[in-house]
Amino acid sequence: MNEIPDPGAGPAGRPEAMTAHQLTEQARALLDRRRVQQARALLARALKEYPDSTGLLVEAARADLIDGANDEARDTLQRVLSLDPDHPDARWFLFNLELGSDRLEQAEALVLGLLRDWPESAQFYAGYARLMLRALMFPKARALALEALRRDPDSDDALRASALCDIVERPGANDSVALARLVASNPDDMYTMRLVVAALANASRDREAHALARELLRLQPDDPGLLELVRALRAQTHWSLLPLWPMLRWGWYGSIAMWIAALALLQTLRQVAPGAVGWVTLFLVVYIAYSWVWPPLLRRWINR
Amino acid sequence: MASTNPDLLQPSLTSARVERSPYSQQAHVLSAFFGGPLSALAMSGINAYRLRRIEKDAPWLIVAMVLYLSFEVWLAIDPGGQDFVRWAGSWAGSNALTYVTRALALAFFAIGTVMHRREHTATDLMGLKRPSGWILGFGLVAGGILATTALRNLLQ
Repeated sequence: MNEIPDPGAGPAGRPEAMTAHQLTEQARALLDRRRVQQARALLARALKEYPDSTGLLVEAARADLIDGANDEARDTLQRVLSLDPDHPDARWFLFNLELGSDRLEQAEALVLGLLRDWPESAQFYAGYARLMLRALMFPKARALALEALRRDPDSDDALRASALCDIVERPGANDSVALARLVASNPDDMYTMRLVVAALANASRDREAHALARELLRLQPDDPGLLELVRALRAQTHWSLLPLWPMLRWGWYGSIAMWIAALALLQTLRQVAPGAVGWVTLFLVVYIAYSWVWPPLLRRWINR
Repeated sequence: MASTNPDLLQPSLTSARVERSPYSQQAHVLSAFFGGPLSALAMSGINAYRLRRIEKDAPWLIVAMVLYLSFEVWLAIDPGGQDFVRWAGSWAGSNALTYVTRALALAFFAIGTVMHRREHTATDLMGLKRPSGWILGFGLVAGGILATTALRNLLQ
């Protein structure tokens, strides 16, 4: 297998390149711990000294990505690629950026290029699987996830791609082997735990999903996506929605079953207790109005 | 170690092949409930087209359409169908036929969403933006009611 070169390393024996490499490592460590402001300050100083250090530029792009400054990150990554067109980290980050920006064709070109240069990389196969899932091309996504696992059965990226395929393909897939292995090997990893939340929510186990998402938010309180997820699950599990349980549990199928049951009840009452029909109809009208009006109001109240 | 399937590394996405997210289940169920079986099938067909799987869905859509048209013909022409209308009316009153066709429309909705379950799950999981269903929904409801009325007048 071709080794992926260390993006921060410069030519051996040049002390200034080593220093740039050390600064890159420091910035990377800060960004790994989400200390973005400190990393930015360090990168600003370092880039004054080494403006063409591809390693420092990639970490600067990573800081932009964490802050959601996608355009700035894209410009920086393009600059890295103008200095070093084969830079693997720059190509990989750019792939993730294009994928997140819904520029799927560009993302595919990048990941195919990476796979041409590193055909044994489970990480790149897994990335391509995520892209295919995003493009709603499930058979290819599954085949790529399997290929990633074949290359490296213990790769977290491959297991994540496989777990995502499980969640999408099987209703109520909270028994995904890939997800179980991920949790066993990375019990503290945020992304893994978010996958568990998604699997629980997909299996309509909203209370457990809400409890876990709340714990994750305590660990990462500045994550807007997580906050939105917790709010949505909180609304979904609020006590005032208990009367809507069949709809919450089975979605529109539950609503259809309720409609058929209500029709059958009314017709039966017309035969056996005509005096009760008016009251039951009134109750059903109030129930339907509540089911349409209250959930969006509750969501708005929780999001305020 | 070479790839077991060389096709995996062939590009799959061009601007014409990028899948588009489906209309929501809410838009679909409301179109079916108020517009009838034709609206339900039309929405399933539109979603299948958006998801580039019309060839896969065409057989069941055609079978469902033939089933519904046969049902309407049976109700209008066959003595057994007219007996069924009378029996349903004795149980559910003058709206019996509306209830039966609505139930059929909801069954078509259920089949359509089961067929597109993976796409709906992935759309939610990946946070993809769905198109607004308001204009299409109103159009399908109006079109469904008009087409059903025209069909029944024709059969009478």
